[in-house]
Amino acid sequence: MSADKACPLGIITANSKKKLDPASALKLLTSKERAHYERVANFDEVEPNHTKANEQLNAFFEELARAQIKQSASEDTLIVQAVKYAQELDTVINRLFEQLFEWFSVYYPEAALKIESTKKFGRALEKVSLERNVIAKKLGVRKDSMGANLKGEDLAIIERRIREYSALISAQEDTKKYVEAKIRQVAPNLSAIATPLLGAKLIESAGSLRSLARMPSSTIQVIGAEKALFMHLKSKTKPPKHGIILQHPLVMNAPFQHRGKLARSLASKISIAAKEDYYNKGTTDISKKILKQLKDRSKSVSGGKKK
Amino acid sequence: MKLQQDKQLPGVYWLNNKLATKNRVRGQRVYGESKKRVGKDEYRMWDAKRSKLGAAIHNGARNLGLKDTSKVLYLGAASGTTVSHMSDMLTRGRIYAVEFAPRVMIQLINVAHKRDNLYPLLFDAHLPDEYAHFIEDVDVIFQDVAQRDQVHILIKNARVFLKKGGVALLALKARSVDVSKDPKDVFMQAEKDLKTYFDITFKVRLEPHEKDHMFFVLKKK
Repeated sequence: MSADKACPLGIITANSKKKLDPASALKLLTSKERAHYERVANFDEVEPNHTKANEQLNAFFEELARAQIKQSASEDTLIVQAVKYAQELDTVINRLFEQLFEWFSVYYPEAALKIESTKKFGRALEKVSLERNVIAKKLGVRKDSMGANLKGEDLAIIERRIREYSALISAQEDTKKYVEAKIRQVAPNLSAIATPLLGAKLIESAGSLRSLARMPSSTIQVIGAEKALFMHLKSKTKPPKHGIILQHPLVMNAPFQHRGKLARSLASKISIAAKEDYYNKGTTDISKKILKQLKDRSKSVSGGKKK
Repeated sequence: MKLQQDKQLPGVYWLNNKLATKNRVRGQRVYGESKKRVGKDEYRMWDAKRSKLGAAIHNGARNLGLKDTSKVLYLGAASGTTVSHMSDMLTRGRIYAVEFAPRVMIQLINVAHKRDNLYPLLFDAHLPDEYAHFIEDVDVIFQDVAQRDQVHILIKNARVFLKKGGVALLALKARSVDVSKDPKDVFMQAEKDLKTYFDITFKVRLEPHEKDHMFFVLKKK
């Protein structure tokens, strides 16, 4: 056993430069909790398997772990949670929309056809009463519908479900707005280059800004295309050109044969931005320079056939 | 109900030929396992599908170096499924359970709260130096972290903490070392690497409980 370990108390005064070293971990504890540790620190001298020593050790390690967990939550955890919730909302809204649309169509199919998308449906019926002449005026459809003439509770229940549905649409917009504002603040360069929502999704897939910053750009390029990637690694299929990076306008708007090249450049620039944001805390703005490089690259890809 | 103690593994019981341990904290249920009362004592059934150590014992792993007074360093404790059974087994021992993910650590702390032989540590198993000051030398290291450099992590920790002649238990997941390679090749390479530092006393595949896993019982040279 090394000298250090025989006398663990020595580390409290030791100057260590590491981030998560025991010394700074100890500083997270209150004086009372530290006293716990000091009592049990010399556990070699304590009679082995002594119940009391075990109890004290247990209490000490619990306090230490609790203090560390408190420190571990960072801003990007909030982004990850919000993005996950927004994605869940997306699927829920889609499913509810399909069924609610059918239900409403029984009553007023002409109106339903005018608002056949998740958002339009929620927004158009958000605050109006479901009387036919009100809706007809708002949407400009004919009043005498071929739908069933629902009354009383039959109509009221549809109205209540539509209120709920509209609330979900607002919740989705609200969450996305929060994510956008948050990521601009936590990772300004990343959000400038990858667009805020895509940047947030990348952080969510990677788990944290830290792990995104530590990823090679080739990995960032295929985040979200794991199925195709592992198919490629296991058998001889073609590798995926892009994962969720495809949602970026630069890649999305490019012609099919250029997308792979652009995805590669974009991934490398995103990687640089993430590193800047994580290691320099986003203090310097490098996004303008990188965006210009990306623009040039895009030009040379589309016009560079001569070379 | 037929209750038998395993002849080679102290603290491990066979209840109607199913694996179980005597519950250290009466009434506590850790991961939804079933509890059985026999006489005065309460036993927790050990689900081999949820626990790699349980699967290894099912598949014949013995001589694990686990005694009731053993001190154990457990790397990759997760939410405490296997650790809780180990805590049942080592009635007078100590378990230092290292886990890096805060989310599951919350559950682990909850499990450890009433078990005074179980100590949760939120650290990265890659960096034993960061928690070296907290842990005494141990008799057994158990490692189940499903990382690419699993073997390396084990050796690093064994260097710092494992007593000479101590036992290391490794649940190696071939798919996390290399998804594209044949598991057999991964296990061969791992054996080669392990032999530089350990003697391999026993190894067993964990089928049908886990896919592409190999369990090693190792002795420090």
